[in-house]
Parts: sequence; C-alpha cells; structure tokens
Amino acid sequence: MQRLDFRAMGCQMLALLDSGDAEASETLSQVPVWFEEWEATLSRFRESSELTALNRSNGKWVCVGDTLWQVIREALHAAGDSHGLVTPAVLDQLERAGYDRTFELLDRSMQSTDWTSNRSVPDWRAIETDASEHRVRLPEGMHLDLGGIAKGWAAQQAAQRLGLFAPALVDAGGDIAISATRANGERWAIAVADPFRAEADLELLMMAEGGVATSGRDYRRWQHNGKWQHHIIDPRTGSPAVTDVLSATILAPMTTAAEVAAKAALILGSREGLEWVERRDELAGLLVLEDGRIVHSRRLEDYLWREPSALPDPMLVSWGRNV
Amino acid sequence: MYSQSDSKIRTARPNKGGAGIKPLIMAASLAMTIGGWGILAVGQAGNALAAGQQALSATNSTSQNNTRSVSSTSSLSQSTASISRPNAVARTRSSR
Repeated sequence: MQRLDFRAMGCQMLALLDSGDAEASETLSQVPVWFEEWEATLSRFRESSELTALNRSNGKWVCVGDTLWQVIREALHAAGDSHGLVTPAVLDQLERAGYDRTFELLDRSMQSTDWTSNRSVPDWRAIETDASEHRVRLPEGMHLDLGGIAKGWAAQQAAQRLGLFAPALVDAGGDIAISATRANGERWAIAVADPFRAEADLELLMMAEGGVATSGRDYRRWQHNGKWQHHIIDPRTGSPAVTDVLSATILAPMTTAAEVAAKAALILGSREGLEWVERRDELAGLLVLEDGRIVHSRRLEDYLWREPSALPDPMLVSWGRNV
Repeated sequence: MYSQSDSKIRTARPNKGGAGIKPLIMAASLAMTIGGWGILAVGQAGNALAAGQQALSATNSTSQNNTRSVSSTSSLSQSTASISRPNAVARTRSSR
C-alpha cells in the first residue's frame, strides 16, 4: 500500500493506492498537484480564483472552465436533491457569521458580527447555466461558496484517477472516496471519529467502494458575544443551524452525495435527519447528538465491523457480512 | 415514519474491540461443541473466517457446504484470537 499525506483546501489530506507499481507511485505523487489546481479554481479565499471572478460578475454571464462548471452543476444537483437545504448561495451569510477568511486566520473569539441584519439566503434556482458554452449567471447580489461540495468532489476525482491504476482511497479532510475493494479483495476499514474526544473512534466501517463524509459543528466554530457559532448555514434562517446533531456521518455511492446528506441531516436535526436518511435507499448514516447519544440508520448495520460471534451454533454460524 | 424503536440508539463510548475473557469463553464453548458434535459448521464465510481457518489444523473435511471438521482445540484458540479488529486506514470526521 502506498500512502501520501499532504495539506490542501485548509485540511489534512490522505491518498492511498493499493499497489507497489512504479507507474502508480508516480501518479500518486501528482495528487497534491491536482488538489492545488482545483483549489486555485474553487476557493472563495483566493483573489485569482475563477469562483471569486464569478462572485464579482454582478449579474453578467460568465464562461467558466471545466472544473468550476462540474462543481457548480454538482452543487445545483445537491440543492435540488436536498430541497434547498444544502445550497451554494450562502456566501453572504457565512461572511456575516464571521467566516470571511480561511479558518486558520479566523478570530475564534470575534465579537463584532451583527446578527440582527442577516439577509435570507437567495434562491439557488435563480442561478442560470448554459451547458452548450459552459456559462453561468448569478443574479445580482448572489455569491457562491462551494465549500459544501468541493472536498467531496475533489476526493472523488482523485480516487477515480488513481483507480485507473489500482484500488484507491482519497481522504479530503474526512470526506472519503473509495474506487474499489482492496487488491486482496477485502474492504477498506474506515474509522468514525468521536467528536467528543480527539483520537478516539466510535465505530469501524467496512467499505468496498463509494463515499463517506462527516459534517460537524465540533471543530469549525467560533464565539460571538459569548455564544458558539459554526459554519453550517441553515438556508431557512440564514444563520448557523440550530440543531441537536453535533456530527453526522453518511455513506453513499458517491462522496458528494454523502457530503450533502451529512449537511442536510445536521441541519434537520436528529429526528428529521434520520428520517431523511432512512427514506433514501442509497444512504446509511450515523448521527452523534450533543448530549452524547448516537443514532444510526438501519442500513448502517451492513457496514459496521463487528466481532465474529463468540458462541458457534453447530448447525450454522453467522460471521456477519462485515468480516 | 420515524420511531426511536426503528433506529439504533446508544451513548457515545469507544469501540474497544474484543479482549481478555472473551477468547477463553469462545475456546471453551468450541471445545464442548466439538466434543459433542465432532463437526464445526460455519455460515457465510468472510475474510476473517478465512484468516482464522488458516490457523486450524483440519484433518477431515466433508463435502457439505460451509462445514469443516477440526482436530485440535488449541488450534481453535489460535484461530479465534487471530480474528481481530482490522486497523483503520482512514478516519472520517468533520473537516480539519
């Protein structure tokens, strides 16, 4: 197994390639280059990014490159799937909440955010796209943040490229994409981190392929007038979501879908969020609540590692599907 | 319709895996089973089962699906202890 750790998009990244082949190794070394290219296009924090240029277009049609086109299309698809709960049109609200610079530069104890003048989130359906020429038009006053989809998209892209050589896993700050089962036919073992305790894990997932993502308010948060705020905007209020969910971990066939579902479940809260996941056959999930309780969907059982049964039945012993 | 009985609910605590007394109980149970039946039947075999069976010194096998006969309980002790929690290769958590 070849491994590459690096930082990009303000997060810790990991790429694994289940091969000792030299050509595969050369390709693995390119992963940070790919992430830099994507970040240069998609980051709202970079003056020269295509996204920043689009956000300054004041209602005009703008031709965009393939990367921005793909991610905007994914973001619009996500907004549709989530009935607007996960929308890219939240940049103004994020900045009003204080998240107007990279998280590393954020003053976690800021006092100056004015909550009384939060504007409602613009309707994402007003974004126009022209597939024939890859053009996008944002209504005047609308600005996009792609942080809710970009890491999952990037992890997927990287895993797909690496997967041409060998089974691959790409972890983009906790949003993980897996191209195929490992070379020995086994599933990949993915830990679910405990948001209450650094370095502790809640569960071990066994995944053959697809994506898993975690959305949480346990880390990217800061104080405003003595109250903790976080980066997941509820578009229904224009403010950080008020929810009993501390973190949501979702498995899906695609990492972008997992990322969107994790945010939606967090915004909805444990009861509606779990119902939302259960209604979608392609999803499985686990929610950690702020009071320490953990709830998970029925389908998550298919992915949880469990020890083999200690007491064998002489007629039939079920070792479970996860081992 | 959501109901708490449909979901799984517990309190956050670490998933420590198996250790200590469990392998002894498993070995004792298997020893009694083998003494009484002479055959260890297995169900849907997964990778851990395959790894465990490498440690078994089976001398007789039948043609029945998913069955093995086992000759040594000490080998069984080794096999149950060898089916251990895999090491995670990655960790999902909120972005940092």
